[in-house]
Amino acid sequence: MEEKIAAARFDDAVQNLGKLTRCLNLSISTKARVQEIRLRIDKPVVLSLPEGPLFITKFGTPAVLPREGLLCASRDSIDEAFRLICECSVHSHQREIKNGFVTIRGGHRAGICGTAVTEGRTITNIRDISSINLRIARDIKGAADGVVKAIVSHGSVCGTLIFGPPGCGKTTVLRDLARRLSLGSLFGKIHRVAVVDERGEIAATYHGKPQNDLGPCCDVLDGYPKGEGIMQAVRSLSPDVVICDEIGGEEDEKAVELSLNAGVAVIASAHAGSAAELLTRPQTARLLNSGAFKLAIKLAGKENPGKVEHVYTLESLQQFRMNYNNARIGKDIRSA
Amino acid sequence: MTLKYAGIAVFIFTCTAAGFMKSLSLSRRVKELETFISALSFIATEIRYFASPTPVIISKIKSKEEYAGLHVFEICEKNLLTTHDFKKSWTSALDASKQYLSLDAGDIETLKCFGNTFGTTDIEGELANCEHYINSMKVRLESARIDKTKRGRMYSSLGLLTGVLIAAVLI
Repeated sequence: MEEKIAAARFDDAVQNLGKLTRCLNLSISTKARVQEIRLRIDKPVVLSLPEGPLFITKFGTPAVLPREGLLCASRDSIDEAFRLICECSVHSHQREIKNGFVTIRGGHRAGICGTAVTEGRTITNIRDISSINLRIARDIKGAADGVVKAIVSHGSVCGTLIFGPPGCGKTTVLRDLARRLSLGSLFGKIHRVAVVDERGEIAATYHGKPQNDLGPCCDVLDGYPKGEGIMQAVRSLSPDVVICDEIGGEEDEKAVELSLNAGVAVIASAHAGSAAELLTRPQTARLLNSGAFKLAIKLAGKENPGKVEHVYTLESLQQFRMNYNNARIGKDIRSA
Repeated sequence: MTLKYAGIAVFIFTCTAAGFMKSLSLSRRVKELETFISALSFIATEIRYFASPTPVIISKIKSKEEYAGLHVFEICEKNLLTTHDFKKSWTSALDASKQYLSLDAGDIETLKCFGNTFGTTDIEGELANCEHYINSMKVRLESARIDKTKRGRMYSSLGLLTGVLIAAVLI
């Protein structure tokens, strides 16, 4: 059943790529495992699966290795896909295009790259789109089981930072967590949840309606910049929990501090391949130092999306930091 | 004899009606151009305040009573569902609704040009585009108004006179 739903999500996402991917002849199990579809101008169409890339022949069948007769993306097909992704409305997506991605109906995210149009050092637009990477959104109920277990063992819903490498299921976990908190399946209490969905990936709001089920007590701040969204949620929605994706900017830091002072728990995700990376990156290090996060949960890699690899409490993270710094100093001394 | 007079009456009526219809089409063209200008202003407002996507804008216009007579937005919305291409949808909607409209070929061409670029640029570009086509349509509206005043009465009178002339010849 879940496989069928995942395959249907694939079909839904593929519709946004136009004629090129209409001839795909894939089994349900393959469709269900596809994480990304990559189009590159004059290059073969590539599907990303947990076990590795998969190419497509001109007949729509899968091929494991690159060879002759593969389905390639032409300039026209890239342009068509871009037009469909933007719904013939570049003006509605100009901020997203500038940031290199567009969220589409169903919550799928299309990463785009081409030639940057700049003003000074700021990117104002992207022209001559050359690649599109469509990441298929997954709404997996139960994806946050591991994270929920960690939070429950902590004793209360607290500030939690979920981190891991790209594709490890951070957004999927956040989505499931939002639904479970809002449904009252954690500690038997219905939590008021505010989701600050800057990229539209958690709720996948389309024409004002979230496409993903986030439970009955969830407010979605769709398209708000994270920092501003967190502040507005704390000020006006009086949530118990604020959930947001990919935190790390300067504004985010201030907003997280504000929510800490207001007694609102922030559950967020961050890109970091390891705890060391999390601690050495100035933005995430500052966030952890603010005291807003009592737990830092490391997710395993792309192979096991949503699986918890390690749970750090504030104390264990501090211990880790000390050991890491000592090791670094020792290394520096040795190299000197 | 009665048949002859009845025939003459039919001639007079037909010619007068033809003249009147021609004159009416000039009035309708003015009204339609005004409505299209208003629709373009509505589009500009939707983009400026809400950055609404194209299908949403078209759907909103379609559901407004004041634009219902134009048909083009209704057809365009339907086309968009199948083609997902605004340029194609708009062009074919204009071609399909031409029969209901009193616009001349130049008006239709201007509207088609609007559709060629709509949805392909940022907010500033779209607003500039809307303004450009509003101005173009206003120029056409002015000439349509002049046409209506100058030729409207002429067509009505000409229709009646033609009818009378034919009647006189027949008598």
